[in-house]
Amino acid sequence: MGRETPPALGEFEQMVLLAVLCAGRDDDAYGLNVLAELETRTNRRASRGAVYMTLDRLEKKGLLSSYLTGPTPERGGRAKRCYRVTKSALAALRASRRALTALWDGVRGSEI
Amino acid sequence: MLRLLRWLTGDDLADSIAGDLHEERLRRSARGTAAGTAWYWRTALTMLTAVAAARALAGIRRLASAFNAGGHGRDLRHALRSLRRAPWYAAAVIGVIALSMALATTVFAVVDGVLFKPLPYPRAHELYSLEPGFTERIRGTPSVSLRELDVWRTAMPDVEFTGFDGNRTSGAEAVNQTGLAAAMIGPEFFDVIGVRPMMGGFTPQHFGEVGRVIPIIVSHHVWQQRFAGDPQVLGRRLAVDPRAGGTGEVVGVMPEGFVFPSVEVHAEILLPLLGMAARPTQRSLEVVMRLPAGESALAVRDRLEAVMAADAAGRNLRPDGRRYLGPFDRATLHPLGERMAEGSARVFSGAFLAAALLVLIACLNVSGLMAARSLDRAREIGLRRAIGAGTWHIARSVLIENAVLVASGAGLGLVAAPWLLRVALDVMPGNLLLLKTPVIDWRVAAFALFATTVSVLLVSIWPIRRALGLAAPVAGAAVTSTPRAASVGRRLAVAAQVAVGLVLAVGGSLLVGSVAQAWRNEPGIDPEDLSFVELRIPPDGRHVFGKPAPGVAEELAAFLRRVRSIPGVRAAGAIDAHVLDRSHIENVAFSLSDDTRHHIGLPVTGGFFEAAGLSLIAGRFPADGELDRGAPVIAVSQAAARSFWHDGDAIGRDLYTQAMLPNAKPDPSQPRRAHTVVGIVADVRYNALDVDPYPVVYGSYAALNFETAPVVAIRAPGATGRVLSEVVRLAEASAPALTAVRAQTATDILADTIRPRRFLGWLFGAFGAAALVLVGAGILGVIAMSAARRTREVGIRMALGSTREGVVTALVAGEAATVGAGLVAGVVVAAWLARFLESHLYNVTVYQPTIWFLAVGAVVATAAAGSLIPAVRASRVDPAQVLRAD
Repeated sequence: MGRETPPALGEFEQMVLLAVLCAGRDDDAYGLNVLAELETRTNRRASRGAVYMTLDRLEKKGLLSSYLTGPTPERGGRAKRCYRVTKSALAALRASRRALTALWDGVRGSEI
Repeated sequence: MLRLLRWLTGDDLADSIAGDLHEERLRRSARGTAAGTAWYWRTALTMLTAVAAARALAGIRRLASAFNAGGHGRDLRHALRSLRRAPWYAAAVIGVIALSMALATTVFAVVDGVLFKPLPYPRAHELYSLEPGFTERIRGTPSVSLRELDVWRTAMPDVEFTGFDGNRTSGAEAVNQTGLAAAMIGPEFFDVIGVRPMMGGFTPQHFGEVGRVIPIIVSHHVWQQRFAGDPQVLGRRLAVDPRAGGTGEVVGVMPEGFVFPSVEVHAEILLPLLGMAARPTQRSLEVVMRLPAGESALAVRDRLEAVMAADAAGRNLRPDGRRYLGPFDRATLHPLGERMAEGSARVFSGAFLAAALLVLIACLNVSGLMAARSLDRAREIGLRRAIGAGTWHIARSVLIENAVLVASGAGLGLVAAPWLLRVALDVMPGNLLLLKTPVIDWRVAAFALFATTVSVLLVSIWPIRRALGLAAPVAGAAVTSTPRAASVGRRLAVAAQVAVGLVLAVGGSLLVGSVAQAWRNEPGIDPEDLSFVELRIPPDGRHVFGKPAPGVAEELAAFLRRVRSIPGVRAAGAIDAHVLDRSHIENVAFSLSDDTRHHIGLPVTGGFFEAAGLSLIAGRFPADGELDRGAPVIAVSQAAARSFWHDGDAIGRDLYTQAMLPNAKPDPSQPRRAHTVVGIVADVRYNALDVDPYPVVYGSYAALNFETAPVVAIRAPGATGRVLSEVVRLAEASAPALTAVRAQTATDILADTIRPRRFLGWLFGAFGAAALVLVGAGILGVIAMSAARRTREVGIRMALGSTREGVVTALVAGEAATVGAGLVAGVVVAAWLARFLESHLYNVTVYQPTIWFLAVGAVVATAAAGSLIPAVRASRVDPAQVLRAD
């Protein structure tokens, strides 16, 4: 049986996955802090709708898993959906980094 | 907004996104509420747009790639081009499908919460509603006492029992003065039901002593509506009963979608079941049981009946016929879901059946229209076959064209459905139990998708067969159906449409006729410029059964003086009666000295007769001064005058007061007092517009008031709305001495009394009207097809000297027999089905000839219009052109 090829990731998907990893380091990663990480670290505005849709899509692709916390009053009695990065997402991220690094290695400093 | 988000993303994701937004809004609100709110709406709208765009793009991409993969894209483009060349045909099909689908999805959105949605409790199949009874009586009472409940619990520890007082006429209603339905629950309630408050809850201490502050758990709806979803709601107060029991303090909030498991009351406020220990034998509890897993309801029933029998033998109590009916000896266990929906399930099943019939008619019609179109495309189909198109290719192209039309119609119907749903909710009676708020959600969308798919398949069978049949001679294949078989099929389709159309038209006419009859009734009051405000004057322990409550009349008189001083008020007065809420109270009655017959006494204050606009038949109204000081003068309604004295001459005669017991029997222990009749007034329909007036006697409120829930009638010509809000403000300012629980114009209240009837009339009237439109369109399509097939014959006939009238007659006559057969079948089926509507009719008999003539006439007129239009068009054919083409 051959080794499974990690799924290809789009640029925004990579950024969202990395933001989930950053946000999930000290706390549960959920919509709000994933967006905050994304905006703070990339220093650019991200569309809230695009972030939620990407989280949903990544979950459907099996790159994220999610769980619900209990409803709290400050959330209007609604549960919080928290995300975790799956093993296959980690593999995809590593593969993507390897590809980018290899390409960067081939570029001379004076060219950019 | 949340609804739209749910529709786009699904419930779970939408809820978590909404929670995130809520959380951030709170954080931003710390810097200023206005800034937080503005941010919230701006962000929510931007995000919704982005989500909708992403979803739409993804959908289009998926659809396009799927289509192109199978070569369907080419067929789709071809179908769209071909439909552009036949705009009338496309519009007719889309219109028919849109009409039926809009009605069907609206009905589904409503019935989904009654017929299909499971009860919102874990392992709901284990929950049963208990109806205890007595062998010697036909029906039992659903209420049990705390003592009985304790005996059953002890004897059957494996069965979980919960008792709650949700009966509107007992404790809960007396404590609840907020205008919201309430129920008192025991501490085990949440364990048995399996649903817990989403915030807070009762503690064991809450079930202890009755205090000045009543702990309450509110529904999610009340939390959102009355407390604006405040996350700090716990500890906030709600006016429950300012004097008798103290203010309510919110100690919990139930989760969204929770439905109180009662047959009687759709409670929005839960209170701890207090004070029952002091009256352990009073039967006021409704019981729900959770059965042990794996044990049948019949087995549990047998065990319970054995326990009841043992208990009865031990107690040796005899029924006394009034307050206590002896120990129960029989038990009936109803599945909770069936029991909760029993009031509405029948109506909604009928509505759903009617909607399904409508979709069926629409499919038959569209199928006819599409088959007719196949004839128009005969040349094109033949050509395609000749150049090598296979059977599957021809079938697929017809299927795709039909799918485009049906999907467009269904889409249009779905767009119209939210509007129709709003209308339906406006006319829907409030007491119908729905397990979810009717919305166009994913379930409804799924139903629409399912109905569309089935419709596409249904409507495509006949046109595909026809298209293949047309192409067969060219390709040398066998003809799929003979002309005779096709003709029989077509006639059957027309007859079936007419029959179903007639059934729906008869049903609609009977129910709309009932509403019209109810509206024609004279209410007995003049509703123009009249409004009613229902007050609660908390008795504060002053209420002694059978005696006027001290101080209440004075408080009411002071309030009325303030109301009369509002500019624009011409008259104001109060009556102690349930005005127009389909019930009545019987605390005091009047009777003749030598007769046991009695009629309800209605205490009124000065100004009531003028404000309500009652008509005087004879004598005079009791004067305001007489009423306010408690003089022994009365007025009787016409019905009461006729009932007490056969000659109806009541003026100057005497009647005697009679205090009533709760079982509507006179209380012999109370003293009787003579009152003289000074006037006869016209009958008033105090119960509802469609309930006959009952005989009443009007006496002085100051002398007779036993209740503390007077209704103030206010007449303010041209200023009803403004005055009504000022009266409500006055009542609020007078709290806690009195509170207003209902304020409405008389016209609205009158309309509300026939709300269930109006809802049925609207629903089935719409079905009937839609059925007529569909039958008309269907017959039009079929005759158009028939005329198209007979163009050559018509041309030859006309060339041989036939007139245009002759041609029209020949074409229409060909269908007359079919329509006639459909009418006969429809009459037979409708006559059988109409019996089921009998209990919903008012002043209209099931077989009322006028209504049947109207319904049959409407179907005949529609069929005539549907056949004449294409027949006349066919008769305009130019014989020379036809013969040349030949």
